[in-house]
Amino acid sequence: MRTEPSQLSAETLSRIMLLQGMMGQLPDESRICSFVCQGLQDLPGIGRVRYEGSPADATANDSEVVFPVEISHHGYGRFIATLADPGRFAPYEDYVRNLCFMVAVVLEERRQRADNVAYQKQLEAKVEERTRQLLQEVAIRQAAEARAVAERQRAEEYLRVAEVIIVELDAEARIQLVNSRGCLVLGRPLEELVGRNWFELAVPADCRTGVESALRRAMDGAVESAEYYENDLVDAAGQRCHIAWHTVLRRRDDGPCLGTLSSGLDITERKLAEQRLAAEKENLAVTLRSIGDAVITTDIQGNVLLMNAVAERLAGFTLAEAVGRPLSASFQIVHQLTRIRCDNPVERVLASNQVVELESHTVLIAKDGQECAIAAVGAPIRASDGSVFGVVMVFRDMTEKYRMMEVVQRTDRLEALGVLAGGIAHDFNNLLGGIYGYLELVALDATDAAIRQNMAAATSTIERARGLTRQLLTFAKGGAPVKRHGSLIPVISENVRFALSGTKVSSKMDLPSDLWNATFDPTQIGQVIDNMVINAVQAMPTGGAIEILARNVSLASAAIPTLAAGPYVRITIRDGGEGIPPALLPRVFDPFFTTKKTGNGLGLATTYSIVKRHDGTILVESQPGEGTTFTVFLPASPTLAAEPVPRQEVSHRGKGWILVMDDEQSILDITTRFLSSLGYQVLTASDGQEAIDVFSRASKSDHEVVAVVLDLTVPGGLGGKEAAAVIRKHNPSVPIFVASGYSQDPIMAAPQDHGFTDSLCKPFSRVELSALLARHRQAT
Amino acid sequence: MATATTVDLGFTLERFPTGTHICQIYNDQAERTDALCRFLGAGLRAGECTACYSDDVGEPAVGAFMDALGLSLADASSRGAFAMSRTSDVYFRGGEFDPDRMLDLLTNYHARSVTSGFPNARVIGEMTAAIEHVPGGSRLLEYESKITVLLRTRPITAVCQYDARAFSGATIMDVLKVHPMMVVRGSVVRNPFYMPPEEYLS
Repeated sequence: MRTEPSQLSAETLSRIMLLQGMMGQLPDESRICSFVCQGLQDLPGIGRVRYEGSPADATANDSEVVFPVEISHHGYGRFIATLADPGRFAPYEDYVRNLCFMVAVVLEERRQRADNVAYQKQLEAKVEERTRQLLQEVAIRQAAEARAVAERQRAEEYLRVAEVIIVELDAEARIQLVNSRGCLVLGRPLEELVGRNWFELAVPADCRTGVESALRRAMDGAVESAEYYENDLVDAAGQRCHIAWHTVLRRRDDGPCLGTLSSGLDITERKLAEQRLAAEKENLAVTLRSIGDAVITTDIQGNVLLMNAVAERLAGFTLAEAVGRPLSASFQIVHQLTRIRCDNPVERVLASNQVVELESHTVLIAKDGQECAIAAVGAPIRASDGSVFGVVMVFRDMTEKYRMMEVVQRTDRLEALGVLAGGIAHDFNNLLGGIYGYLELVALDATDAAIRQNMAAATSTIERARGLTRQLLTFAKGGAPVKRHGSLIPVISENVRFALSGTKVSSKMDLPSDLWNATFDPTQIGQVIDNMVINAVQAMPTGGAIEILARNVSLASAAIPTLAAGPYVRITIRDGGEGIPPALLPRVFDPFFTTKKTGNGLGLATTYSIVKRHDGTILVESQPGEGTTFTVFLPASPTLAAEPVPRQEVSHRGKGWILVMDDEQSILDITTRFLSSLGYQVLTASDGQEAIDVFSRASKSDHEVVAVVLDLTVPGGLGGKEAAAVIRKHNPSVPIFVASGYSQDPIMAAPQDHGFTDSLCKPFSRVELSALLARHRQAT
Repeated sequence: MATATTVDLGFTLERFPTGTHICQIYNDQAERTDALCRFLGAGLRAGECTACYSDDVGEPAVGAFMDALGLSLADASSRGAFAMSRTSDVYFRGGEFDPDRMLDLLTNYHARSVTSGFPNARVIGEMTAAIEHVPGGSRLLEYESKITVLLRTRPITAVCQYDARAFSGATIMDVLKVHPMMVVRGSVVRNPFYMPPEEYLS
């Protein structure tokens, strides 16, 4: 219940004022409110005071007075006072309401300050964050700038110390940048270079157009790239160097080319080294191609690195097939006789570190199975420090050389046999000459038919003996051919027909009319044809046919080892006989070698000798059961004018004195009788000096000498050649004939070159002597 | 009628009689330290015997303040004119709050100041929130009220500092009731809520 208002107490008012003054010292709403509550309870008439922060909770009864704490509709709760004596309190109610308003003011001020502080903190935080961001951005920018500066400095340092030339050109090829190396190479300071046209300043005139064109095309997009290029540069002093360029085009986005940035490396020394190396390689390749020997090089593992053309030909492998593979794959060698595979020569060289020579009889088997005998050496390839880094094999085809050696050996063997046989045959021939002459004379004088028949038989037998000795002499001394120029066709055809007459063998001759002429001894070549045909007939005891072919051939050098290059007539005689076993083939031209019971073993030996002395050769090929082919090559003159071979006159008669000189009395006697029978008178001499004397005396008398027959060789006396020279001085026109059993003597083959008119081989028949005189003496 | 001796409190121009019991409610540490140093400095300058109990303000801070005033704290200490201890060491010795022991301590302090020849004695101390948790802490207001009684005979000029952030508003109001004088916004005023000891203790 409310009492009457009391008078205001200053003490109470000061308390209210103190509360108002003190609450500002308190830190928060809770402390302020509890402080005020506690203080209000000491005011007159108030029993108890409580504070309610939430208006929803505010429920006051009649004995309570509510003091809202609010300002501008912003409430901070309220104080609720329970009045013990409303009358005593009544004078202070307005003061208390004012106090509560001040509480609201303080709290609102606190709130606003807190808001301000929060907002300020928020602002400060934003400022701080933004400042931090700015600082971070600045730091990043500064770091980026620092990096850029550092990178620029580093780039400049790179440019300065770079071993390559760095050049930047604009689209007009003006120099924008060039580094120290570029200045050094061009021999000009930077100030002289920047802004100048690159091509005019640095590229030699002789290659300027090409280089500029290439770069222009790249800049214009005409070509993909100018990434790599090489060209010469010229420095301020005119010195040239060769540069390898790597170039990139500078573009703005996808726009036109702004210029180029190039790095160039001075490769002058490298280029020169490459050129020297290439030259060395070329020299080596040329050398390897040029030399006749085969060369193969391998690495330390024995794999092929190089093989020259000769090696390729012999081995049958190309370099591309062999390179990188083991030597044994392309170089297969076996022993010729045992057929055992030979040791790998490269392995032997590497094992011994020394030069290794392959044993003889080594045969290289080519890729196609062809074989050739080789001589080979292998040697280690050493580096400058002596270490071995490969092997070189050098080998050559020895097939022809071995064949030539075989030919030479056979020739030597035949020569030796010839010397032996020739000595015997010469003396034997002289003796036969005497016997033959006397028998002829007896036969001329004989009137008894029986005697004449026996004499004829004896003469025939001696004729055969003469043939044998002549054959032996022909083989032994060669029987220097008495050559005449003419066609071989008559000699071949007549001798073939003659040799086949009476046999079961027919012939098939192919002798073209355009066969070249040859210079040959008709008698000897006839003997060659005769021998080969007889050989063929004997090879076909049951008969058959032989083929005789003649052809013109032009041989290249070394086409046939023993023949010089040039035109030849090739005569081939092929039979269909039993053939010759391979083991016997090398011996068929040996004297006295025969497989026939009736043969004397001189036929083919003589044939060989005759052909050889005609500067030709004879080859034989045979397969058992398939027959044998003899091929004769004779030097030819590529002319067609066939001259008929003069045939010997069978008879002659003359008159006058003929001087005959021979150290063999029987020869003198027989020759005198032959000449007498032909109508001549004879003067004789036993040696050359006597012949000169006789001729001299006769010249001064009435005994005019119409011909002279001189023995070539006089043991212990002046020979025919010397005598002829003297006689020729006395009478240059008189026919002088040389007679000798040494028909191989060059004088016999070419008597005109030695002062003689003609030659006469001993022993000679009356017919042969008659024919000789008929050729050089006019018949009476 | 004898005229009471007045002293300079240091933080206000007005002089107050010796034995005045003053309460300072603060919420700013700088304000509190400033008042503490000024109070002690005024005492030392006046040649009084001074004592300070504080956990928060250390001797270095006080020494620096004194140095600024041209006073030597070390010299004052050596002369017995200055003593400084931690509140917890003095008020809560033995882990409890004993008002009587504290009153004896103040009694002895004043006696010693007198016998030492100091013209006056002053003390300033802060009360920490720990008082609410130690045995005997509930006797705080009793203690404060009895100090008022003690100072009538032992005229020590005393300032009690309470941190408004450490105590509730009601406790602050209770503390005010046992201090006849209080510091409001830097001025020392009579406390209208003050209850004389005879009334309060009854």
